[in-house]
Amino acid sequence: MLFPTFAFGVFFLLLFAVAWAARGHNEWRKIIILVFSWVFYGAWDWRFVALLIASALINWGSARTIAALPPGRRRRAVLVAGVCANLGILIFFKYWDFFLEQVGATLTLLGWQRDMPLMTIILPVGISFFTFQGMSYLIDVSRGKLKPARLLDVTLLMSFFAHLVAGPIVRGSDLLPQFQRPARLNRTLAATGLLLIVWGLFKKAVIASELATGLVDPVFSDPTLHGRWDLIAAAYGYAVQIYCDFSAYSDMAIGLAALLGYRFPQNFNQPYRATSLQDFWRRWHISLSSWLRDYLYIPLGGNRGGLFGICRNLMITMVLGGLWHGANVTFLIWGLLHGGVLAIERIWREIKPKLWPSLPKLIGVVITFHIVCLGWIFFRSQTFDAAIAFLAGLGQVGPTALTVTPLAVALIVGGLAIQGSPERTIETLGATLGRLPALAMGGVLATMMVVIEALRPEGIAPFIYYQF
Amino acid sequence: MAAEVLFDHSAATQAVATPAQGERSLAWTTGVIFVITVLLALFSAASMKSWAETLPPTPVNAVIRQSAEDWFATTERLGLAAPRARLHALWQSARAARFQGAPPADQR
Repeated sequence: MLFPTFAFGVFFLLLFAVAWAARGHNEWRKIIILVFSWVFYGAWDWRFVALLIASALINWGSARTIAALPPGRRRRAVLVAGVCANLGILIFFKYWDFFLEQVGATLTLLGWQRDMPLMTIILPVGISFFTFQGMSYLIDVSRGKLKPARLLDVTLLMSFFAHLVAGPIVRGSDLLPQFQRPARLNRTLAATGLLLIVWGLFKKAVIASELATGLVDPVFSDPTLHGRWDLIAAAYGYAVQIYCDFSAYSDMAIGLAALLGYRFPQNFNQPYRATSLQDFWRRWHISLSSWLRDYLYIPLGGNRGGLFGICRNLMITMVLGGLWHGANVTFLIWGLLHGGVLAIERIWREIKPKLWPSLPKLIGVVITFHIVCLGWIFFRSQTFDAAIAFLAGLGQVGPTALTVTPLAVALIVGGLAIQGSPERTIETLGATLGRLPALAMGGVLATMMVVIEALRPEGIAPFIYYQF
Repeated sequence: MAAEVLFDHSAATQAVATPAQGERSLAWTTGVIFVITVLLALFSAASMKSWAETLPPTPVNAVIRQSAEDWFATTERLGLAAPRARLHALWQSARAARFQGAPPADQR
């Protein structure tokens, strides 16, 4: 069940009505949202609801045990077992076949050919998100930042439909306190939530879908058939598409949660206006980058251990962040590129003579954006060879542009222009529009939605991050 | 850097509403959603029809599909579907536009 579909609209209207009808009974209200969340997840495959429940049970039980034990080896052992259980689920579903393929290839190289027991496992939607959420909950409890929550709250934390399949990775410290008190709406929260849903719908259904079907997919499917201008447009087009697609999901998730009275963390903050790659990671997929920082980079040593240690930790963090997206050499290269550039930035900050001026902001933005685009070429390409063919094509004089259209160029320019808008425009607009009477506000939003419905293509592709 | 919580800049949104304020805000939000639903049903019935066409063929879905088609036909007769249709046609012509020298869409 995808957010920008009629079926989801009906689903949410029903949930909104039932959940708020039960507002006097917080526990029942949470049970209702939980059951609806399972229906939402079960729409892909009912079997995976059992996996979600099992995962919640493991994390609930582990956290309670951790909290009950005094600090020491036994407590640490339970934490390690809990984290390993989460990682085990992730590795089994996401990396098992890849691992066996690599073992098989190595054995063949050694002249010992064997048929590996590949399982062609179906990847549960959003598994990377809910396993990371489970791990952060366990670690926060073990660090004493969070008290172990009740089974219902932990299960809802992990199953809440709004963030379940593509984030944001909402931590227990953000959401559990909200579950413990009755949810209440205020008008600005509701108005901003509604605007975020409509804005997300526009970014996904109009910009991302049009760029995907009209430009990016045809060019990336075989870059050798396209000339330099198509390739350049597709590289920029994918940068805009992935931003509009992923941030649209986050916006809609935040908006839907807001309509139910819950606040989610912000996940995107105009990333393409970043002046350095470090700045980019403070603005892009914030819930993942802060997760990697708190639960991987800092435990690895963080900024301790001298320049070499910092660069090593950055590389390890970004490579693992790349592989989090999937077992593919293209994601590995993407992680290496980001880790390498972050390390170079760090080294440059250390060795740059103090009297040298800093780069003008605009130049920093342009350089950072193009490094990010280079990373996206590897990220989007199916294979390493396809990415190299794409890059080689950029340097060749070939046929004129066949695929890029004036509309695609306009959408790319428009998508990039979003990055230049004042920060927190939607929230400011929400505060203003929230003062309108319901009839006027409904009229404004319905007009926007009719326009979006008229511009969107027939059918809609799943969000890019559903596959992770 | 802690994960930034949306709305944290605004005291108005972060403030916990009193039960009475919460009830008024809920009534307002319900009103907005109701107005959106009605207006979309009137002016964007094509979306409902498109969705109904994707449903698997079962006796219940056949009724849903027929109802969606009938409702769309009604909105067309009343001229309510016209603004969306005009905008859709404009968008399609924008999609079909090509740079000079590039072949038209159907020849690519």
